[in-house]
Amino acid sequence: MQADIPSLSCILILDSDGQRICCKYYTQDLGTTHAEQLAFEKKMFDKSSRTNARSEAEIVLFDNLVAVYKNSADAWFFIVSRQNENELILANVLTALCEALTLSLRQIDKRTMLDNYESLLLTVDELIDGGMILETDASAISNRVGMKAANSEPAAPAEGGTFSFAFSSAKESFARSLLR
Amino acid sequence: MQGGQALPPVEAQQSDWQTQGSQWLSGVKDAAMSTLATGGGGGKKDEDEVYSPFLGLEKSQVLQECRVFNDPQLNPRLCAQLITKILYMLGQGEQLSRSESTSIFFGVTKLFQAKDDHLRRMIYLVMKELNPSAEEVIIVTATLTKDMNSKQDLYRANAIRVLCKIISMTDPTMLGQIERHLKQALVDKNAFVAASALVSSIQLIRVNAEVVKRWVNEVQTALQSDNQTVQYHALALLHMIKKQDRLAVNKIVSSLTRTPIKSPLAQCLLIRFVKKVMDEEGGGGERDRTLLEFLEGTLRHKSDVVIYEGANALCGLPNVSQRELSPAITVLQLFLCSNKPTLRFAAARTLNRIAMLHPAAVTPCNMDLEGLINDANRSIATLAITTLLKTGSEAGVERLMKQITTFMSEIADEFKVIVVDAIRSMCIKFPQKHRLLMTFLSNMLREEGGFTYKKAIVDTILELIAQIPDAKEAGLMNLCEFIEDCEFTPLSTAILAVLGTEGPATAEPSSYIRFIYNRVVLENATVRASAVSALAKFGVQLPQLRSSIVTLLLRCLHDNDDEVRDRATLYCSMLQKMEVSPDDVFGIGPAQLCLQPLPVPLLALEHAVAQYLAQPSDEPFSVFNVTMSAEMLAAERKAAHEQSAARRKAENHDGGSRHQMMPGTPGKAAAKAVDASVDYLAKIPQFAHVGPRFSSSKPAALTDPETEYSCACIKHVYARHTILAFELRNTIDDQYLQDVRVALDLAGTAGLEVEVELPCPALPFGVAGQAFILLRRTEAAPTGSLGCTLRFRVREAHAETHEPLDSSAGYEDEYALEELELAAADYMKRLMVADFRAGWEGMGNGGEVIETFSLTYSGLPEAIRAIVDFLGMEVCEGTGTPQDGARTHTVLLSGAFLSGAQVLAIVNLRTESAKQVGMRLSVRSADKEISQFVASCVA
Repeated sequence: MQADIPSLSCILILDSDGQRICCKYYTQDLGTTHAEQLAFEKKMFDKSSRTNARSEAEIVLFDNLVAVYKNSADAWFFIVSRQNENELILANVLTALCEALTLSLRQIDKRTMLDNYESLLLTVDELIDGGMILETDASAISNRVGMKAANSEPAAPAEGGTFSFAFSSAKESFARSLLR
Repeated sequence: MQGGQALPPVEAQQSDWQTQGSQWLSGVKDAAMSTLATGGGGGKKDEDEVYSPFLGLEKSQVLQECRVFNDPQLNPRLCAQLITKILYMLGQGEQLSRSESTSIFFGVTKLFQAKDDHLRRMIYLVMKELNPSAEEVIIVTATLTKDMNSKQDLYRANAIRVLCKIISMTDPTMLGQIERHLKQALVDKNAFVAASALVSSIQLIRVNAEVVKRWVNEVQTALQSDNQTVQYHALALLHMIKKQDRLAVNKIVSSLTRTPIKSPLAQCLLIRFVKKVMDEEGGGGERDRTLLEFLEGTLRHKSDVVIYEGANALCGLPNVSQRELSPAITVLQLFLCSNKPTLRFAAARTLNRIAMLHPAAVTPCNMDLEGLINDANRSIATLAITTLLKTGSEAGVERLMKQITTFMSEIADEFKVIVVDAIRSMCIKFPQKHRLLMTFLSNMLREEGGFTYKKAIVDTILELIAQIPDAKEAGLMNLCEFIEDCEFTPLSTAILAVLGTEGPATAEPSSYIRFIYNRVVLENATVRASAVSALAKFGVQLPQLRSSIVTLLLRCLHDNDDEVRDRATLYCSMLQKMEVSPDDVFGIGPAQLCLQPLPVPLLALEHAVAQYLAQPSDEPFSVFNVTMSAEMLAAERKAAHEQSAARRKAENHDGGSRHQMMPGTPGKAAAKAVDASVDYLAKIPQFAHVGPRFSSSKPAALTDPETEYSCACIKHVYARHTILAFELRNTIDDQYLQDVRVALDLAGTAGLEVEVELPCPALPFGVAGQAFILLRRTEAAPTGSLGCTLRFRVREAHAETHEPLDSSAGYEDEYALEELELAAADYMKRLMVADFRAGWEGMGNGGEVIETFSLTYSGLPEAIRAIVDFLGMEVCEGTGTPQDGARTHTVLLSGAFLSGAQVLAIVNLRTESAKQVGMRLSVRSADKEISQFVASCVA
């Protein structure tokens, strides 16, 4: 895989027991067989499940990999890449994944995702292509999943997700100006 | 929105309870519902949905259901659901056989006639997952190409992605057929279509670069797009097309740094390219001001992603100065206080990396880093601690260790290992603090922990014992206490071995005996055996303790384990004999037998013993008659190299930071392993008479890199001989070389004769081979240049298997190599002296030679490096690096000359002008001739 272009090793979506909901591997190095992949998922889950990753994405470094993850209800989302990848890009991908799912499914938990499994698959497919980041704009992804429009030109409606994002970024820049 | 600030612990707990509570509730609900579903005999799909729509999904059943694809009256909803089921099944690890996959694929192709958008999207998705074969692809190519020209943007974009993916997986040559359409798509008005085409092209360039490279104009147009995603992918693809051409890359980079790019991702990519260009310029010359300013400018970007990428790039520049670092450090410091764990982690990671090279630059962040020691994310806390350990001043060590003590009990073993590593490097940095750190380590040893953690501590203590002489006794005592209650056999045996070698040299060796003998009484057989060996080592080295040790060993004669009993018997009789007369076993003295490794590898010994048993002779077997074949030598070398490679890999393991953290420590051990394998060279039968090896040179390349054949030479010097070992490599894939040898022209150098030549019998493409020449020196130390020519027989080889073709008989050929230099440094061995001044004074000026030179070097460091290389001597007392900006410097050097005579040298250097360095070289040794010879090497 080209070293320059930001790329992912895999996306994992697991339930609260660490069981696979939807996993997509883009490189061979995490294991090529089903058993190896399950072992990796178990390891990943063991490393993260005791932490609190509800409000903010958490991060862990192990085995030459860096993983950014988030927990929503009974689902865990992991974005895994090689350890020298810019972790903030990974965090952006994770945010895009969660926001796009929220836009498509209204809420994200295991039940909803299984019931709308095709939307889940399509979201992942529209987010990442062969390990490369295809699109990180959540509303564009959601529109393409719903086959509504190819572009996000009509500005996304002011929904909770985007508003809270704007609010938190405002808060952050305020905090930063105080620190200066 | 609760996540304004980092959650205080109470709140964190509470929300954890909430999670657990809600998880428990949903679990109960799920369980109840699933019993309901099964209770209702839920064969029907709608009822299944209450728990999971995929419960009880069976492959055979799904394959059966695939018949609906052939239905004349297609039901799009049903078909889409079925595709989802297939994808779920594949996602759960179900394997499809080739025929199953083919039948599904054909079924799916029928669905293209449906006009349903959603179904179409699912068709695209499933096609990518099915890995169709080349024959199957042909069926869909036409349909997909039609979709690529559809009016629907979404169809176009997705069809491009699917078709390109299928082509790159099956038959990249098919790309030509759709090239026209793809080229158009690259500049499509619709961003999704353009982005899809660009991303697909990036995948395709890996399999069919030629075609993709023709699209460079379209890609450049796409780069001007208003859409951020398109811009990002266009930049990525453009770089991939141009990356072989450095000039073109430089041009793109410098033009883009002037025009602002909107997309943060594209900006990150550009930063990476800029960094690469700057890396390639190397650290030697001037830095490109505009590029550096560009990187500094990215630190003011509004997106965190870009700021971090820029800061990271600045920190990773070659030979980065503290002034260049400071703006990056300032933004990273702000990140440290963020409420987002990812930001804190990113900053801590980069600071940790830079801390080894520029501890002073990171010091301003120490306050913030200390705040992170209690971070809820243990990765961040560990990074903060290890950074602090690297940057901490000597005065702050106590306070820091106090903080770590509380922290250590809370983290997992893997993090503890990282902290222990950091403590190790800190201890080597501040040897005066060894007492404090040793206490800390011994406390950690007493606590609970797994094998890797305990091993890391023990390794650290062993390293400190080796590096800091003052720490030895305390360290050994700590280890003794540890083995009193150690559950890990490998650690116990390792410690016992060290006690045996180090213990006798301490002030009170008898104090260790009790600890070791306790092991004989209390432990399992493996540990008992090592304890017996350790006891014997004390007995061999210390005559005053010998009789008491024999008494102890006599008690082990009735041990119920064979190995322990055998060892005890051997050592007992050996020690008892030593009392009477110092006799040999197999021709090796007791001290050598106990304390040094075997002079030959086990494999060769086993081979030799088997041979001896097969043909017994009257002469007693001696380990010195063991010889090695060239294959065995190659196997040994390979093993040593693998070992060192594995070690290097382990060092690079976390963040690439550790290999910078501890230069030379485990690396040295690896080098030793390679070194030991060289000693076996003399075990090749033809070389058996050369005696012990004196020194080996670094490999000298006799060809430019990237030529047809590459050849490097290592010179191994023995008492009266020199072995030239040539490392050969054949880089032409259709040639198979035989009988490869290096022909030497000795006419220009007096005092050398070729005694034995071992050519490399076969040198296939890409496999390293070796050829040897044994030279006898008739004069003491001949120097000069030897003309070299590579001679060989060439046979044509199969381009893929690289095996020689039977039809090709081959022909003789030769290839000119560069001259091989025999320099005075080859006859010098680097040798550390403990006290240089005392050695210098003690030698007296009887054999002193003083010379002055004027050398053409632009700076002191450069001159020092060259002189050390010329002389081949070891730098003493850390005088190898001058102070910044100093105009004069003195280097102390020591070495051993061929005859074993010690040689000392003082080098006084003075900068005379920008290009001139003045040097006064004083050499002392027992023999004036040697001193003269050494002094003349610089001239």
